[in-house]
Amino acid sequence: MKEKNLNQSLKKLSLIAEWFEKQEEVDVEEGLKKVKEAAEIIKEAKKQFKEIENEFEEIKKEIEEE
Amino acid sequence: MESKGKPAVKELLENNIFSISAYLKLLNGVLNSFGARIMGEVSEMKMGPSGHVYFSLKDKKDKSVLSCVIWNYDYKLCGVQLREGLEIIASGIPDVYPPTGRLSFKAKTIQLVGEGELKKEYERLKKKLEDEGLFSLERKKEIPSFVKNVGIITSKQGAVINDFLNNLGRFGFNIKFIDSRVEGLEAVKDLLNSVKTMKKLNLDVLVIMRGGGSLESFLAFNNEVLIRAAADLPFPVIAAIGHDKDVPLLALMADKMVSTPTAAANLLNQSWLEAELELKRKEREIFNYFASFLNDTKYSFNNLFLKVKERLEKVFASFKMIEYKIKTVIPKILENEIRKAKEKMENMERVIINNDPERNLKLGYCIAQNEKGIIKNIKDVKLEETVDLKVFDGIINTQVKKIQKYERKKS
Repeated sequence: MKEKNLNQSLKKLSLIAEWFEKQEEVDVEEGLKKVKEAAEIIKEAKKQFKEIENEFEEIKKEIEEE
Repeated sequence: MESKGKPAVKELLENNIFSISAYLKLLNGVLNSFGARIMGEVSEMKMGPSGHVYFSLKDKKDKSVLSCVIWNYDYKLCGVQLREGLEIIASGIPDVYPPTGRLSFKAKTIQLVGEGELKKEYERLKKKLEDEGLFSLERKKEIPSFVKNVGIITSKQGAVINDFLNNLGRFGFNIKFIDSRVEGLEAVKDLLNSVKTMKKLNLDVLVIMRGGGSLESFLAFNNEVLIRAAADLPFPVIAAIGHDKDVPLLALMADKMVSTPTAAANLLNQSWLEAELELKRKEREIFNYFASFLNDTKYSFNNLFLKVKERLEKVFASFKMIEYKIKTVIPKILENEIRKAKEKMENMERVIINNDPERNLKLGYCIAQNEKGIIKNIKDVKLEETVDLKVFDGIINTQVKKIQKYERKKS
């Protein structure tokens, strides 16, 4: 789920960046809304990069013989 | 142990009479401890209906012969195709087969001898699997982004697992590790069991690793059964098993082949690191856009302010002009007008003064009046009529005695 969210977050951010790129006339109010939205997404996404320790488990192989 | 054991067995053998079955059991018990690796040339090979393979191993020098058998499962697993004349190393234990009373060597696994044979076998299997499309790009699974559940198969011995773990980023990977032999006669079985165990787990990717080595030490990774089992996994396989001259066939089949454990770790880190960078890039991009947005707005405001200022300045300039006019021009005009009016009034005053009847009376003029009013011409009076003459200091009452009209010359 998380990894999907991360992908979606990056897509959403790309859309916001594109929106800014396309604006010919400056609409500060709408721009502010978009920046707020982007800041929220970035904040959430960054949580996933906060050095989450890896889990390591050694498991035994099942022996299969004939 | 030996000094105590030998006499005990001897005593047992000497003091008892055995049934064939009991004797063979005893014998096989002893023979089982004679596990060994035997090298020889294959002869008299035949396959039984159940798939077990019976063959003889012949000593090249003195033609001594050892009867051998390898069970179907082990035969398939060993990956060697037996044929007469082939030199092999068979690993197993000897025993006497009670129904026939023949001693045979039960091979658990078979290995080819000599680089030439190994190379031939490698090429044969490579072509076979290639023809089946097992190495084709079309069937390769993509390594997913943001991998979490990682299976690792490698030996706990050596630096491989540590190299991998040390280079793996801390992105919350959930690692399931199986310690497996990666070379030697038992490696194939170990690896195969490991792959089968991993298949039952919910993994995003499986990484199979080992350090470098010679073609011979890669044997397990050229095993057909193992390769097929790995190809059958529902998730992608990354092979980090290095290679000598020839790439191990398992690596050719793998969905992704890398040369070292470090490279495998980097591959798993890649999408996370890229996403981290991309996130930073997007953050910078969006905030820069917005900053430029604000700058544009500020610029527009400044522009607007300048325009308004300019207009107001113009208005103020007009006011100043008006003020100047009010202060300087208008007073002058007014002054002029006042002066003119004053002059007019003075003139008028002079006229009035000049025409004041009192003044004229003083000069000697008088005003003649009768009952009808001021007499201006001879028609206004009659003879014998009383007329008042008003002079400067009083009225003289007179009577008209004569009326004489002036004779005026026509001009």
